[in-house]
Amino acid sequence: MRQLTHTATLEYYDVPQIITATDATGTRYLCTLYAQETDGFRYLGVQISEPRLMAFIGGQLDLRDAYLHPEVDNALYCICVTDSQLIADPILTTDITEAMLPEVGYFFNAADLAEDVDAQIDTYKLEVPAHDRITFSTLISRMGWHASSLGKSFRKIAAL
Amino acid sequence: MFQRFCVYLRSIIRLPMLIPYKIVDYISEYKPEWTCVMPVGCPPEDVLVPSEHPFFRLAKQANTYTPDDFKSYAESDPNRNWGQMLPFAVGLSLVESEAKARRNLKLPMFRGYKGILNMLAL
Repeated sequence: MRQLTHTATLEYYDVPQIITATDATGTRYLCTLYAQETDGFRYLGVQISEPRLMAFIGGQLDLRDAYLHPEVDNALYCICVTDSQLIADPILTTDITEAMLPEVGYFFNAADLAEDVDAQIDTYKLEVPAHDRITFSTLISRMGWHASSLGKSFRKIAAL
Repeated sequence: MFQRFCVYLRSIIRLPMLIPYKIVDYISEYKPEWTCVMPVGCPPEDVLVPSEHPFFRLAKQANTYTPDDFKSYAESDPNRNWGQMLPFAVGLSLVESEAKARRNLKLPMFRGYKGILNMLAL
């Protein structure tokens, strides 16, 4: 049993449906709501690396595959959320039922995050090497982030 | 002033839009009746009022809707202590995109859901 810290809500519908969390060691978890019990909500969690999480957020990874094909053994957890506490218990692959899994074909669309009127916006200043500008602009586009001054910044980088 | 402009704009071109309102102004202008007792802080001070705006909500049946489709978590579990989450628990989600609604049908919590309600907020 380990305690997790909520880091982001990726999908909200009446309650958070898909969230990300970390544990004390910084390991990331992708968690999907599958049940409401009397003592709290139950999420199916999977330990996930940052590149794979980014692939999911970028719409390149089917949510179901994240659970059926985890990157490491013993990566699945049942996460109970009660009063803002996230308690994760390991769960065996054989204990997972179909009712806990998303259907085939759920690809996250990061543009939905940009439509969330309650989304908290932080502003960062990044120094992007000129040779990475296309990759960076693709990432910005996929995430649905607002970057009105991006073109101007890139012209400045190109000029340098 | 901005709201009046939006209403004027709407009268000329009937475009779907979300008009920002202060909740006190909205209540004094439209005198809404809530369907349940609202907790403190709900609705929030700043709201977006839809005008000719389509919304989508998941439904348990394919071709019709029932009151259960509009039951909040607070209504379905009234004895639970929701704490600070109560304003969220009394709320219902609507999405602006049919594609997003259809995508949500693939999530485990909506396995029993078979339809999507298309609502037009006037």
